[in-house]
Amino acid sequence: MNPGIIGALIQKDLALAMRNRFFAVVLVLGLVAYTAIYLFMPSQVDEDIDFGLVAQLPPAIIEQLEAGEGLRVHVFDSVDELETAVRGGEIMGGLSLPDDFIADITSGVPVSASLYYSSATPEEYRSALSLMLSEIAYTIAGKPLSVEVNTTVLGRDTTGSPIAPRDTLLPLFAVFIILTEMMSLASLLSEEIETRTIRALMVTPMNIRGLFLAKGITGTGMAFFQAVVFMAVVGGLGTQTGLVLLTLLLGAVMAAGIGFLVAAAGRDLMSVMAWGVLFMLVFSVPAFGVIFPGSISGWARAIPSFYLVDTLNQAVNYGSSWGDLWPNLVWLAGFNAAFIILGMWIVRRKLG
Amino acid sequence: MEHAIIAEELFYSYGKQKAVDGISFQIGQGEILGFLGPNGAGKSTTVNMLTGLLKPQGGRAVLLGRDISRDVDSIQKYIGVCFEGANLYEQMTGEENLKLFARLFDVKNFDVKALIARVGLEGRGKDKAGNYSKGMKQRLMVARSLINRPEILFLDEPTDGLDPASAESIRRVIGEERERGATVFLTTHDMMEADKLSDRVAFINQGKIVALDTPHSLKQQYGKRALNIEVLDGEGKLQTREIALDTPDTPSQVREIMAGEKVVTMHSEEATLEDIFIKITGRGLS
Repeated sequence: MNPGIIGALIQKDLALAMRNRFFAVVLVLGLVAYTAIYLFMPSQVDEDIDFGLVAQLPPAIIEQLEAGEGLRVHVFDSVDELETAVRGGEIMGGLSLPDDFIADITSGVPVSASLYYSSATPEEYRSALSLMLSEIAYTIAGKPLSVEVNTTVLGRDTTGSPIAPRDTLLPLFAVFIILTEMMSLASLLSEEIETRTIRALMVTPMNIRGLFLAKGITGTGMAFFQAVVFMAVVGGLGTQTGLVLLTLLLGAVMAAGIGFLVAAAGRDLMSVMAWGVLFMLVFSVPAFGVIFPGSISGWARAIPSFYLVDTLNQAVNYGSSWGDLWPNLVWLAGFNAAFIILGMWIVRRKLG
Repeated sequence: MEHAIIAEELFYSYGKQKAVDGISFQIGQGEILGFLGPNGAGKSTTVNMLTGLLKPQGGRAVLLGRDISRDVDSIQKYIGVCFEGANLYEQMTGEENLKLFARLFDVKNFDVKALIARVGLEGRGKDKAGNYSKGMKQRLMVARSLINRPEILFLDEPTDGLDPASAESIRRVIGEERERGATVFLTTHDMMEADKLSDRVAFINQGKIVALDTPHSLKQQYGKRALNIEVLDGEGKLQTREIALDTPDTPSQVREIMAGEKVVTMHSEEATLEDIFIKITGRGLS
């Protein structure tokens, strides 16, 4: 084959691909999304420990602590502030020392201190925090001293109740199942638009609201049914059944809402698949936080599926109750409403 | 005559492009109106507004005494629409397609086989619509538009590109619907078909109705009658002579040809709707 002909074909195909708005948008969006995810993730291994301290210590001691490698000290005025920072993930843990800590240590009186860390704090960091306390006592007294430590775990303490690897995958599987049905719904709706059968429907007594309702129920029903079957088979409905079912239902509604968005964006099955996979990738990120604790941080909360994954994980694996998880459900319902309204609005615009 | 459709100053634009530019017309009950125009003239946009798919940006459309913009849901129970180009559920059989829409229209005791037979698809109702030929799909689309025994039937290019048998089958159904009393809004660019089926025709061009009358009146008003005579010239080649009828010179011109040339054929010709459309708009239909 003449290289010129091959070159011409390549040039033609590239030109056609670039003229195809779908390919262009997906290409750009994909690049932006993957780049953004990459950039949002920590750029280097952070071996320093952010450590909170509630204590009346001379600045020299704090400076001495910070002079050592791997420690950043954050001083708080009260235990409440310290707890808030730990719960919010700003610091890995913290120490609260009594007001007469220095006096007691220097006089050799047995001392005690309170150690706080969150349930998500890895074991190695917990050990490091205990060592830190001994280091402070040594710095003040100039010799090793025994310090009684009162440990408080903020959040659910999972120590001693490890989760089986397959159970950590449960939320990921559930999200995949739900989001796969999102693609089914998107494909159904997209095909209606592509083959113009939607026009035939719209000149019957069925109106656009009825169409969305029918499609929404179909999509939600399919996603919910499959997720429930999966959870039932793997024993995921054994604890907090009502809570898990409601969470799955909200997840299924989310799938329907995203399905509308994907259908509006896609032109055919292939483009629906492309957009759907993009959503699946992004929405799967929070599930990896369950599989690899500490691998994602606060920004994952901006991904709506976080509230689905976290609720399922907490309810199924740790038996958390309605009282613990209702804020997640509220967030999930809020995102659902946004997706449904946005999806319907965009599809309506597409239908003209 | 009661009016099934009243369009008053209907207007719709896509951005700055005026698709339908303030058109007005009325269609009586049981009447067939041929709506003729070239591609892009505004035919489909008009149909979309009349069927409730598009909300008019100006003017109003009243169907069966109700404003389509305000009462679309109730009006759509009484209309049937056959779109240009197949839009069927191709993975479903012909019968399943019809049954689905019968359910949407809430038709009780729907006889799917009778309707299938009416459009000449007997024995093919159990086949997937995707396996139908173009003509069969079009017949199924026409059948779908008849499910609710509509009072107004919108047919958009119903015979475009069909084989003669399929086209004739559809024309027969249109005639039967007129006999039943249905009003038919027939969108087409097939002038012969419009001439044959329509009580009146409307010419639409660049979003405006440029003529609206019976085919006969339009021919009288804009057309010319002529006599076409084919003769053999001195070299034995076929030549055509056209003589305008209804002029004082016509008899002498005919006599002159008959006497001086070897006449092969002779036939009268009257203007077609296409001729009239070209005369009015300066452009053809295709």
